[in-house]
Amino acid sequence: MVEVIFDHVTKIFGEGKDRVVAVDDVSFTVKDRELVVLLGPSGSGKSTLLRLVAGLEIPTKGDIIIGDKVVTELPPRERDVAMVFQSYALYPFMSAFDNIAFPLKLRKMPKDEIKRKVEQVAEILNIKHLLHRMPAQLSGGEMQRVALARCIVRNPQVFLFDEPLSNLDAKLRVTTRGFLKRLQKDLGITSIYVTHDQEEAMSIADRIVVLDKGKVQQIGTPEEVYNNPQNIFVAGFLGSPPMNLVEGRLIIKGEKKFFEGTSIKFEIPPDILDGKNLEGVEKITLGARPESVKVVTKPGATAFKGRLYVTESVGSTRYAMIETADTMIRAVIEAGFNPRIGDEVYFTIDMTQIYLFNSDSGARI
Amino acid sequence: MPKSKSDRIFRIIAYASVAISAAIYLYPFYLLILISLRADVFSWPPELFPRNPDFSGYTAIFSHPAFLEWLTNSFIYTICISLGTILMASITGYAFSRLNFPGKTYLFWLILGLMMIPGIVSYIPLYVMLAKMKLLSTYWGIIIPPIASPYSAFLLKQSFDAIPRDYEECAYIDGASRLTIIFRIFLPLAKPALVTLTLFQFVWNWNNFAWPLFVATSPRFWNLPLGIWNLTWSYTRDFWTLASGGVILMIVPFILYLIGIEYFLRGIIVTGLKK
Repeated sequence: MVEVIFDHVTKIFGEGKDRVVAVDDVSFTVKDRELVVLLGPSGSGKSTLLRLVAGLEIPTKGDIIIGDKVVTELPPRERDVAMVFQSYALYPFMSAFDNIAFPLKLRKMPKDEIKRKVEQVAEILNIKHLLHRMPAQLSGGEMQRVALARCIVRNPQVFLFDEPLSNLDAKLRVTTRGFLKRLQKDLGITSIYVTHDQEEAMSIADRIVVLDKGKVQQIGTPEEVYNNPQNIFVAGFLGSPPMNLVEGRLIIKGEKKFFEGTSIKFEIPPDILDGKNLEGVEKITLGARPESVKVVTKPGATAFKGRLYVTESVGSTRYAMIETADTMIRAVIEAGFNPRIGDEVYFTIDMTQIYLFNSDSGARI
Repeated sequence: MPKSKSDRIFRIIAYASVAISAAIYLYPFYLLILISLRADVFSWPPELFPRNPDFSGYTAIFSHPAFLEWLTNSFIYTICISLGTILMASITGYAFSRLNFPGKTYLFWLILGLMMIPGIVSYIPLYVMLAKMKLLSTYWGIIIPPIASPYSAFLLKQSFDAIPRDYEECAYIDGASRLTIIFRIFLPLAKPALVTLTLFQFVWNWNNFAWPLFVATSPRFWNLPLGIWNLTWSYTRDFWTLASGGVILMIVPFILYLIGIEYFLRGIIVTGLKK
């Protein structure tokens, strides 16, 4: 049983005007054998969190617990964690074999045992034929496997991945992430994985921790954070293409409640706001994924007007960027409909699929 | 690309310049060899190919009873001082490159400042210090002071600075100590600087004359340059034997140069191929 617990962890770099709060009172638990992805834009503190687990940084406040041991102040080598770096950090003057064997040599393991272990791991990762090569003679994908092998060979308690796929080309990235996920499940090693790529996070994670400005925004399974975003940041960060976010005001007329934006105005279906505390809520933000916004040919009671800015195709789906008075809306274009740039178009929003946020606090209503 | 006329002229001038510089550079060495063989190079025309090569200068040195002692001392000083310097400079360079400690900037400026002062300036104070410590004419007294080499520490610090942090952090997580990181990760990564430093150190210490002259007050601690110098000094300076000594001294740096050039060329080729 190896859990990683972040207990009110804060990390502050610098002092005075250089002071940066990289991680701000973060608490969560990575469960045994789980793969948790730390997702966030650059500067969100995700890499710092990973480095705190590795022992490369010491928290300013709070504790980190691995297994049943508080490791907050321990040096890296006493933590029994392994890390895959974005750059792979393969020592260029050592062959693939020596790179993989390095952590075992540091532990003064007998030579024949090292050889056996390295070959065993090379077998798993399918790199046996590369062991005699130098890193300069390996392709990006091969280097990555060697770097992975170097981590696995030690059989650590926890795996740390620091954007391990970002140096691979797009196609290899997709196949490798499937491979990584399967490998993690087969080995059953608790893992923390850092990325800024929400698609990668969605596809590989058991649970995602969404971070922004050093704070946890939401924790949940990929489905939870995608379908049930808790605030504007999470809603806007996950999904490709991103969710449409439109600012407006909440107007209450007796029993009826209305969303009133500059170009989009509608009555909010009563079940969405039922039982919600709306006291003091004035400015609200409408969130609608492009998939639930459709371009329609004719104006109608529930259709909003805009001008086609541009169209873009993503795989089998075609999206329209529609310019309204105050914002751009991305919507799905049905097959067979071919509006031209500059045309006046109409779009409808599937009211069962909308999200409403308090614009001031950013929180979901 | 067809070679134009101006291109050809440029090549001729370039080759000629290289040939002339090489001749100017090599002539004194050739002269030294000629003198060591007692060829008459001072008359006109100079005797550029010795008619009756005389090896008596060489035999005088090789057959000197203390020759082996000087040679041994030379090797001891060269190897110990060079290795000691590299060891010290590695640790110092790492500390300045990676550690944070109070006064680091000032200390580094101090080291840079020391580089500007010729080493010989410190010989008198060092002599007094060693005399008080009763270390004159001891191996310790000759070997330890030159190990503190600001230039070497500076050179390694600069090349350590260029090493990405990922390497050491990776090694650190994998269980390496700082010393392991310095000697098993940093030094191999800084190989070009290390090879340069090693060659410089060996040649400097092999040729060092002034330092042993100051502190090796007893002939038992003379190195080869000092021994040869004293051997050729009786009532008049014996230039022929001195020249033979010069040629003998040149052999070791020359061998190192042959090994070293191989490394340098390989280094250039490797970096040339990458990206």
